[in-house]
Amino acid sequence: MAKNVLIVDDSLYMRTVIKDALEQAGYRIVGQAANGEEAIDLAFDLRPDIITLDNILPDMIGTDILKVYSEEGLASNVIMISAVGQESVIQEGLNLGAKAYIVKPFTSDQLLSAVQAL
Amino acid sequence: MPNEYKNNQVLTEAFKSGYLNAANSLSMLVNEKVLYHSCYQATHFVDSFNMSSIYPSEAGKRESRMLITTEVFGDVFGKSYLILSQNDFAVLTRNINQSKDLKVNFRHEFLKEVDNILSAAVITKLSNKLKMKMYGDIPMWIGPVQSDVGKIINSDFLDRASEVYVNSIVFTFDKTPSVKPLFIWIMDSKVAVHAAEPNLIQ
Repeated sequence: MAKNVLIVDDSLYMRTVIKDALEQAGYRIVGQAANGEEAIDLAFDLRPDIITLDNILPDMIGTDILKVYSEEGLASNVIMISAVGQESVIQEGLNLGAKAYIVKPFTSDQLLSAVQAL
Repeated sequence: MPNEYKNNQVLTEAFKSGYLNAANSLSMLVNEKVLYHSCYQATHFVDSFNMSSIYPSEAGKRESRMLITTEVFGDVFGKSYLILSQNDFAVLTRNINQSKDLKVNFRHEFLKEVDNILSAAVITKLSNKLKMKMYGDIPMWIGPVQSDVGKIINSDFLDRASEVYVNSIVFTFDKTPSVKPLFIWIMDSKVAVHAAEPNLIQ
Protein backbone atom coordinates (compact mmCIF):
# COMPACT_ATOMS: atom_id res chain seq x y z
CA MET A 1 0.00 0.00 0.00
CA ALA A 2 1.28 3.46 -0.88
CA LYS A 3 2.65 5.44 2.05
CA ASN A 4 0.89 8.71 2.88
CA VAL A 5 2.92 11.91 2.85
CA LEU A 6 2.30 15.41 4.19
CA ILE A 7 4.45 18.11 2.56
CA VAL A 8 5.30 21.21 4.62
CA ASP A 9 6.98 24.09 2.80
CA ASP A 10 6.07 27.76 2.38
CA SER A 11 7.19 27.62 -1.26
CA LEU A 12 4.54 26.47 -3.71
CA TYR A 13 7.31 25.70 -6.20
CA MET A 14 9.11 23.43 -3.73
CA ARG A 15 5.88 21.70 -2.65
CA THR A 16 5.21 20.94 -6.31
CA VAL A 17 8.75 19.57 -6.88
CA ILE A 18 8.48 17.28 -3.84
CA LYS A 19 4.92 16.22 -4.73
CA ASP A 20 5.85 15.32 -8.33
CA ALA A 21 8.94 13.33 -7.28
CA LEU A 22 7.11 11.36 -4.59
CA GLU A 23 3.95 10.70 -6.63
CA GLN A 24 6.04 9.36 -9.52
CA ALA A 25 7.67 6.96 -7.05
CA GLY A 26 4.27 5.72 -5.85
CA TYR A 27 3.77 7.74 -2.67
CA ARG A 28 0.37 9.29 -1.90
CA ILE A 29 0.35 13.00 -1.04
CA VAL A 30 -2.44 13.46 1.49
CA GLY A 31 -1.83 17.11 2.36
CA GLN A 32 0.25 20.20 1.89
CA ALA A 33 0.97 22.88 4.48
CA ALA A 34 2.45 26.32 3.81
CA ASN A 35 2.98 27.39 7.43
CA GLY A 36 3.60 26.03 10.90
CA GLU A 37 0.00 26.16 12.11
CA GLU A 38 -1.16 24.10 9.12
CA ALA A 39 1.80 21.75 9.60
CA ILE A 40 0.66 20.94 13.14
CA ASP A 41 -3.08 20.77 12.39
CA LEU A 42 -2.72 18.60 9.29
CA ALA A 43 -0.16 16.29 10.90
CA PHE A 44 -2.52 15.38 13.74
CA ASP A 45 -5.62 15.27 11.50
CA LEU A 46 -4.05 13.12 8.78
CA ARG A 47 -1.48 11.09 10.79
CA PRO A 48 0.65 10.55 7.64
CA ASP A 49 3.40 7.93 7.41
CA ILE A 50 5.91 10.58 6.31
CA ILE A 51 6.18 14.36 6.74
CA THR A 52 8.64 16.44 4.72
CA LEU A 53 9.30 19.53 6.82
CA ASP A 54 10.88 22.83 5.79
CA ASN A 55 12.77 24.64 8.55
CA ILE A 56 11.91 28.29 7.90
CA LEU A 57 8.18 28.95 7.69
CA PRO A 58 6.36 32.28 7.89
CA ASP A 59 5.11 31.70 11.44
CA MET A 60 7.32 28.99 12.93
CA ILE A 61 10.69 27.28 12.81
CA GLY A 62 10.67 23.64 11.68
CA THR A 63 12.61 22.46 14.73
CA ASP A 64 9.90 23.98 16.97
CA ILE A 65 7.30 22.02 15.00
CA LEU A 66 9.37 18.88 15.57
CA LYS A 67 9.22 19.56 19.32
CA VAL A 68 5.40 19.71 19.14
CA TYR A 69 5.27 16.46 17.16
CA SER A 70 7.52 14.80 19.71
CA GLU A 71 5.71 16.13 22.80
CA GLU A 72 2.33 15.06 21.41
CA GLY A 73 3.62 11.61 20.43
CA LEU A 74 3.10 11.85 16.68
CA ALA A 75 4.33 8.61 15.09
CA SER A 76 5.01 10.01 11.58
CA ASN A 77 8.54 9.81 10.20
CA VAL A 78 9.84 13.33 9.56
CA ILE A 79 12.38 14.26 6.90
CA MET A 80 13.57 17.84 7.10
CA ILE A 81 14.11 19.50 3.71
CA SER A 82 15.57 22.97 4.06
CA ALA A 83 17.96 25.45 2.49
CA VAL A 84 19.39 26.01 5.99
CA GLY A 85 22.63 24.06 5.98
CA GLN A 86 24.35 25.00 9.23
CA GLU A 87 25.70 21.88 10.92
CA SER A 88 24.26 22.98 14.28
CA VAL A 89 20.75 23.27 12.79
CA ILE A 90 21.01 19.91 11.01
CA GLN A 91 22.13 18.26 14.25
CA GLU A 92 19.32 19.94 16.19
CA GLY A 93 16.77 18.58 13.71
CA LEU A 94 18.16 15.07 13.93
CA ASN A 95 18.35 15.25 17.75
CA LEU A 96 14.68 16.29 17.85
CA GLY A 97 13.64 13.18 15.95
CA ALA A 98 13.96 13.92 12.23
CA LYS A 99 15.01 10.73 10.41
CA ALA A 100 16.98 12.64 7.78
CA TYR A 101 17.91 16.20 6.83
CA ILE A 102 18.16 17.15 3.16
CA VAL A 103 19.76 20.49 2.23
CA LYS A 104 18.23 22.28 -0.79
CA PRO A 105 18.83 22.10 -3.66
CA PHE A 106 18.48 18.34 -3.91
CA THR A 107 17.93 15.75 -6.62
CA SER A 108 14.94 13.42 -6.87
CA ASP A 109 17.31 10.53 -6.14
CA GLN A 110 18.40 12.14 -2.85
CA LEU A 111 14.79 12.63 -1.81
CA LEU A 112 13.73 9.12 -2.79
CA SER A 113 16.66 7.43 -1.10
CA ALA A 114 15.79 9.30 2.13
CA VAL A 115 12.12 8.26 2.08
CA GLN A 116 12.90 4.70 0.99
CA ALA A 117 15.33 4.33 3.88
CA LEU A 118 12.53 4.87 6.43
CA MET B 1 49.42 43.11 9.76
CA PRO B 2 46.83 45.66 10.90
CA ASN B 3 43.65 44.29 12.41
CA GLU B 4 41.49 46.18 9.94
CA TYR B 5 43.09 44.28 7.05
CA LYS B 6 42.79 40.94 8.83
CA ASN B 7 39.20 41.80 9.67
CA ASN B 8 38.46 42.42 5.99
CA GLN B 9 40.20 39.18 5.10
CA VAL B 10 38.02 37.18 7.48
CA LEU B 11 34.85 38.72 6.08
CA THR B 12 36.08 38.45 2.49
CA GLU B 13 36.92 34.78 2.89
CA ALA B 14 33.60 34.06 4.60
CA PHE B 15 31.68 35.72 1.76
CA LYS B 16 33.81 33.99 -0.90
CA SER B 17 33.00 30.65 0.64
CA GLY B 18 29.30 31.56 0.76
CA TYR B 19 29.21 32.77 -2.84
CA LEU B 20 30.94 29.60 -4.04
CA ASN B 21 28.32 27.57 -2.19
CA ALA B 22 25.58 29.71 -3.79
CA ALA B 23 27.07 29.38 -7.30
CA ASN B 24 27.21 25.59 -6.90
CA SER B 25 23.58 25.56 -5.76
CA LEU B 26 22.54 27.73 -8.70
CA SER B 27 24.42 25.39 -11.09
CA MET B 28 22.34 22.52 -9.77
CA LEU B 29 19.08 24.46 -10.11
CA VAL B 30 19.67 25.57 -13.71
CA ASN B 31 21.72 22.58 -14.97
CA GLU B 32 24.52 24.82 -16.11
CA LYS B 33 27.92 25.76 -14.74
CA VAL B 34 27.63 29.02 -12.79
CA LEU B 35 30.53 31.11 -11.55
CA TYR B 36 30.62 34.47 -9.80
CA HIS B 37 32.66 37.64 -9.98
CA SER B 38 33.10 39.96 -7.03
CA CYS B 39 31.88 43.50 -7.68
CA TYR B 40 32.29 45.49 -4.56
CA GLN B 41 32.91 45.45 -0.83
CA ALA B 42 33.08 48.33 1.59
CA THR B 43 31.52 49.83 4.67
CA HIS B 44 29.23 52.81 4.20
CA PHE B 45 27.08 55.14 6.19
CA VAL B 46 23.54 54.04 5.43
CA ASP B 47 22.49 56.92 3.24
CA SER B 48 25.81 57.39 1.44
CA PHE B 49 25.90 54.75 -1.25
CA ASN B 50 24.11 54.13 -4.50
CA MET B 51 24.11 51.60 -7.32
CA SER B 52 26.78 53.43 -9.25
CA SER B 53 29.27 52.59 -6.52
CA ILE B 54 28.15 48.97 -6.22
CA TYR B 55 27.76 48.21 -9.89
CA PRO B 56 28.55 51.13 -12.21
CA SER B 57 27.04 49.67 -15.39
CA GLU B 58 23.70 49.28 -13.60
CA ALA B 59 23.35 52.93 -12.59
CA GLY B 60 20.93 55.08 -14.52
CA LYS B 61 19.40 52.24 -16.53
CA ARG B 62 15.77 52.77 -17.36
CA GLU B 63 14.87 49.12 -17.84
CA SER B 64 12.99 47.74 -14.85
CA ARG B 65 14.63 45.09 -12.69
CA MET B 66 13.14 42.17 -10.77
CA LEU B 67 14.08 42.38 -7.11
CA ILE B 68 13.84 39.58 -4.54
CA THR B 69 15.03 40.11 -0.99
CA THR B 70 15.73 37.91 2.01
CA GLU B 71 16.13 39.34 5.47
CA VAL B 72 18.85 37.93 7.72
CA PHE B 73 18.18 37.75 11.45
CA GLY B 74 19.94 36.30 14.48
CA ASP B 75 23.14 37.75 15.93
CA VAL B 76 23.30 40.38 13.18
CA PHE B 77 20.75 42.07 10.92
CA GLY B 78 21.24 42.04 7.17
CA LYS B 79 19.51 41.59 3.86
CA SER B 80 20.27 40.02 0.50
CA TYR B 81 19.09 41.57 -2.77
CA LEU B 82 18.86 39.41 -5.89
CA ILE B 83 18.47 41.67 -8.92
CA LEU B 84 17.49 40.29 -12.31
CA SER B 85 17.24 42.03 -15.65
CA GLN B 86 14.28 41.18 -17.88
CA ASN B 87 16.60 38.97 -19.90
CA ASP B 88 17.84 37.20 -16.75
CA PHE B 89 14.22 36.62 -15.73
CA ALA B 90 13.22 35.25 -19.14
CA VAL B 91 16.18 32.89 -19.45
CA LEU B 92 16.13 31.58 -15.88
CA THR B 93 12.41 30.80 -16.00
CA ARG B 94 12.22 29.51 -19.58
CA ASN B 95 11.70 25.89 -18.44
CA ILE B 96 9.17 26.72 -15.74
CA ASN B 97 5.61 25.98 -16.80
CA GLN B 98 2.88 28.32 -15.67
CA SER B 99 0.61 26.91 -12.94
CA LYS B 100 -2.93 25.80 -13.79
CA ASP B 101 -4.00 28.20 -11.06
CA LEU B 102 -3.85 31.53 -12.88
CA LYS B 103 -3.71 33.44 -9.60
CA VAL B 104 -0.25 31.96 -8.99
CA ASN B 105 2.77 33.10 -10.98
CA PHE B 106 4.86 29.95 -10.96
CA ARG B 107 7.89 31.73 -12.42
CA HIS B 108 7.89 34.15 -9.50
CA GLU B 109 7.50 31.20 -7.11
CA PHE B 110 10.50 29.49 -8.72
CA LEU B 111 12.69 32.58 -8.44
CA LYS B 112 11.67 33.14 -4.82
CA GLU B 113 12.85 29.62 -4.06
CA VAL B 114 16.07 30.26 -6.01
CA ASP B 115 16.65 33.33 -3.85
CA ASN B 116 15.86 31.34 -0.71
CA ILE B 117 18.42 28.69 -1.64
CA LEU B 118 21.13 31.17 -2.70
CA SER B 119 20.71 33.30 0.42
CA ALA B 120 20.76 30.23 2.67
CA ALA B 121 23.90 28.97 0.91
CA VAL B 122 25.68 32.22 1.81
CA ILE B 123 24.23 32.37 5.33
CA THR B 124 25.35 28.79 6.05
CA LYS B 125 28.98 29.64 5.31
CA LEU B 126 28.90 33.07 7.01
CA SER B 127 27.38 31.53 10.12
CA ASN B 128 29.92 28.71 10.26
CA LYS B 129 32.98 30.85 9.50
CA LEU B 130 32.04 33.85 11.63
CA LYS B 131 30.62 31.66 14.43
CA MET B 132 27.42 33.71 14.52
CA LYS B 133 23.81 32.58 14.68
CA MET B 134 22.26 33.70 11.40
CA TYR B 135 19.02 32.70 9.71
CA GLY B 136 17.32 33.74 6.49
CA ASP B 137 13.66 34.71 6.59
CA ILE B 138 11.30 33.69 3.81
CA PRO B 139 12.09 35.56 0.56
CA MET B 140 10.05 38.57 -0.52
CA TRP B 141 9.18 39.23 -4.16
CA ILE B 142 9.59 43.02 -4.55
CA GLY B 143 10.16 43.66 -8.26
CA PRO B 144 9.79 44.86 -10.89
CA VAL B 145 11.41 48.05 -9.70
CA GLN B 146 12.07 51.11 -11.80
CA SER B 147 13.92 53.30 -9.38
CA ASP B 148 17.51 53.02 -8.25
CA VAL B 149 17.73 49.91 -6.07
CA GLY B 150 20.20 51.88 -3.95
CA LYS B 151 17.30 54.02 -2.72
CA ILE B 152 15.38 50.91 -1.66
CA ILE B 153 18.45 49.60 0.17
CA ASN B 154 18.96 52.93 1.93
CA SER B 155 15.35 52.99 3.02
CA ASP B 156 15.52 49.36 4.28
CA PHE B 157 18.43 50.18 6.59
CA LEU B 158 17.66 53.74 7.62
CA ASP B 159 16.11 52.72 10.95
CA ARG B 160 18.20 49.57 11.39
CA ALA B 161 21.83 50.66 11.34
CA SER B 162 23.97 53.75 11.00
CA GLU B 163 26.74 52.01 9.11
CA VAL B 164 26.55 48.95 6.88
CA TYR B 165 28.93 46.46 5.28
CA VAL B 166 28.24 45.95 1.57
CA ASN B 167 29.41 42.96 -0.45
CA SER B 168 28.17 42.17 -3.96
CA ILE B 169 28.77 39.79 -6.84
CA VAL B 170 27.50 38.99 -10.31
CA PHE B 171 26.69 35.39 -11.22
CA THR B 172 27.88 34.34 -14.67
CA PHE B 173 26.60 31.41 -16.68
CA ASP B 174 28.79 29.16 -18.80
CA LYS B 175 26.35 28.61 -21.68
CA THR B 176 24.33 31.81 -21.47
CA PRO B 177 26.74 34.71 -20.93
CA SER B 178 23.97 37.30 -21.34
CA VAL B 179 22.54 36.25 -17.95
CA LYS B 180 24.15 38.23 -15.13
CA PRO B 181 22.08 38.37 -11.94
CA LEU B 182 23.43 40.76 -9.34
CA PHE B 183 23.53 39.56 -5.71
CA ILE B 184 24.05 42.29 -3.11
CA TRP B 185 24.52 41.66 0.60
CA ILE B 186 24.09 44.44 3.13
CA MET B 187 24.87 43.70 6.76
CA ASP B 188 24.91 45.84 9.86
CA SER B 189 28.58 46.84 10.17
CA LYS B 190 28.61 45.04 13.55
CA VAL B 191 29.48 42.00 11.43
CA ALA B 192 32.83 43.63 10.57
CA VAL B 193 33.49 44.40 14.24
CA HIS B 194 32.68 40.79 15.11
CA ALA B 195 34.95 39.50 12.35
CA ALA B 196 37.86 41.35 14.02
CA GLU B 197 37.53 39.34 17.23
CA PRO B 198 40.74 37.48 18.09
CA ASN B 199 39.18 34.01 17.96
CA LEU B 200 38.32 34.55 14.29
CA ILE B 201 41.63 36.09 13.19
CA GLN B 202 44.18 33.39 12.41
